[in-house]
Amino acid sequence: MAEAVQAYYRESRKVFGVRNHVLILPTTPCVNRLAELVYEEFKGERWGEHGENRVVLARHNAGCCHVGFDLDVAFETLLGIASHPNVYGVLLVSLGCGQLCKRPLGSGESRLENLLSFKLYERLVKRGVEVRWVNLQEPWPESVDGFERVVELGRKFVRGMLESASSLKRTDAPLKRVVIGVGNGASDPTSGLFANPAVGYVVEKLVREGVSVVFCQTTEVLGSEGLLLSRVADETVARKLKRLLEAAYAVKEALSEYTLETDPTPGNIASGISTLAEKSLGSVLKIGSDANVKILDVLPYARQVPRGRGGLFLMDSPGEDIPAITGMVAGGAHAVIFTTGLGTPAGSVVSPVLKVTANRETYAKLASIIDVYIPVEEVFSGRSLRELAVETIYPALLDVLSGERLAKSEVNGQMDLDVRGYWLRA
Amino acid sequence: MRISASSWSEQLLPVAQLTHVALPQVVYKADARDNVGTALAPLAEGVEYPVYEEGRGIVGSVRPIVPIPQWHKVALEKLEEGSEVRKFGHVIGICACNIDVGFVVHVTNVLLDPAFDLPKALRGGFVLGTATSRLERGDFVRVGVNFRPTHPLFRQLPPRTKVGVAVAPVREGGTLRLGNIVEPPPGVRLNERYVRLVKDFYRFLRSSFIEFARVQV
Repeated sequence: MAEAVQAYYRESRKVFGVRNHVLILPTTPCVNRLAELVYEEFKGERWGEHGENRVVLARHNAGCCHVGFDLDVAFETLLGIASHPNVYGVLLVSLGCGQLCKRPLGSGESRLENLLSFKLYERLVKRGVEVRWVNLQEPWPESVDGFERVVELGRKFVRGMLESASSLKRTDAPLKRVVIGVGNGASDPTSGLFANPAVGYVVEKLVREGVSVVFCQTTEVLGSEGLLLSRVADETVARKLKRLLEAAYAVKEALSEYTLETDPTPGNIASGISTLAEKSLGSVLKIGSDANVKILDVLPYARQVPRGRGGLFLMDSPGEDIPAITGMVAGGAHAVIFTTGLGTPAGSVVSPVLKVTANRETYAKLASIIDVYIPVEEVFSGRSLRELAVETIYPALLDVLSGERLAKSEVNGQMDLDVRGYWLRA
Repeated sequence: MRISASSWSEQLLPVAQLTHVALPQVVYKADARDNVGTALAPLAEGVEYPVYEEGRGIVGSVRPIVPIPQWHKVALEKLEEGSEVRKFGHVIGICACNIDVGFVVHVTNVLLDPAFDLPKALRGGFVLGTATSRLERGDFVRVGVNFRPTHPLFRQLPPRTKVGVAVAPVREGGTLRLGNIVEPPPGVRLNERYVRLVKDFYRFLRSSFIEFARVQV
């Protein structure tokens, strides 16, 4: 029998969400504080069967002065976050002059000349997302304090969405309608040796259930091309993968004059990692070692991950934790499994991030930020890592998806969002 | 200078201390195809330790012939020069010399001269010292010429003593390491024209920034 989870069905978008958040999204960093003021009123409010839903605030650094391709990436990322299946509705907090801000037209201005400023709002409407917006640079009457008015209006809109969101109930959802992201950060030797391969076993099981699993961190897969190329579904994907790796290698080669230390780092080498191939295999093994689990596509950053395909998707992303998680979540990941060795509190604004470690000392010290400990010492009393992984990580993931358990990232109110930047800003 | 196994492991970088995890003194083999295993705790020389294979339990034992620090790899088979080192079931390196069963398997960029004893040298740690000029593959590594030793065994050597030969390029100021395997070649063949384009782009950026910094406003 196919596994099922309890999730919220969104009729207008034909998707299941595992959370029912109301999102406050500033469209440019200049209004981060303004959005925060709107958010403050709803800080303590929770709803849903297990109190797992809340109003979330996505502070970020994108939305202004992007050049060319950089703007597309920022747009795609914010659109992905705002129309995420876990989001019931979104309040866009707009400044007015940012590239992605929706603003009212002045006299004599035509909509056609300002298509970009409507794009985010209109695409959200088109996708069937409940969307409201407030704009700071409105032509307010002279007697009105625009700043206060925006906070007041924003709170009113959020209150309205919150009321309709809290009436929604979870229903049975097939597990295969869910997208799961996998990542790793703040690694140590236990990550490569135990935690990542353990997640790999869970990924194999998820893929067999028909789940689309996305992994990323391009810089961290360099060195394990052989493994990746042996796992692609067809020639087109192989070509895409080769191009991605070539590009990453070329940039690395071009920059190696600047980087003081090569990869693996002296720290890696001191803790027993010998070569880049060894280092990246330790990271890439979180996609499992089953040759039948194929990479179905190579996606650019924040591109929507096709649902229910029962395979792997590699997303191009930087190696840093938060932009990597953001990319996968913007691509539609309902939840992320994230391995760590030294411990990291990283989370995501709209999706639960389930942190997994195989380092007992770290877990003992940082249990308030880590969800699952894989008891590796049991490997030496006759248990296999596969059994342990499927017994510990898999049920925890299902519980988190159904909302019966909150990921530590949610409990701690991690609302991390960092849009990948392509460095050149006007 | 004779260095005991315990003081030797203390000489490693603090990172190794930071990631110390109490696990049994065993060798862990991640995949059946592997020819190296990972020491889950510091292993002493000459003592027999069980080898655990993922999913199969104890599959044999190994007796280290040098002390193995925690998380470092130990050879489970005799490895020939030029053969592949396998971990996780995949190639992680190429042997730069013959490696005996029970010997530590770690990366090198210097193949040690036969005049020195590798096991003895390894007791002083994996780091030889720093390169004082850029080394190309095949260059001789000589004390005071292109190499400043920090390793206890090589610190007192007279200038111009040949320590070994570089098996990988090292940048000026880079660390020279003892070991016995090298990085395997990348699994994708790079498009040379593309690499040149990217390099030119970064060269252009760098030169423009330098120009910009010189402008007096």
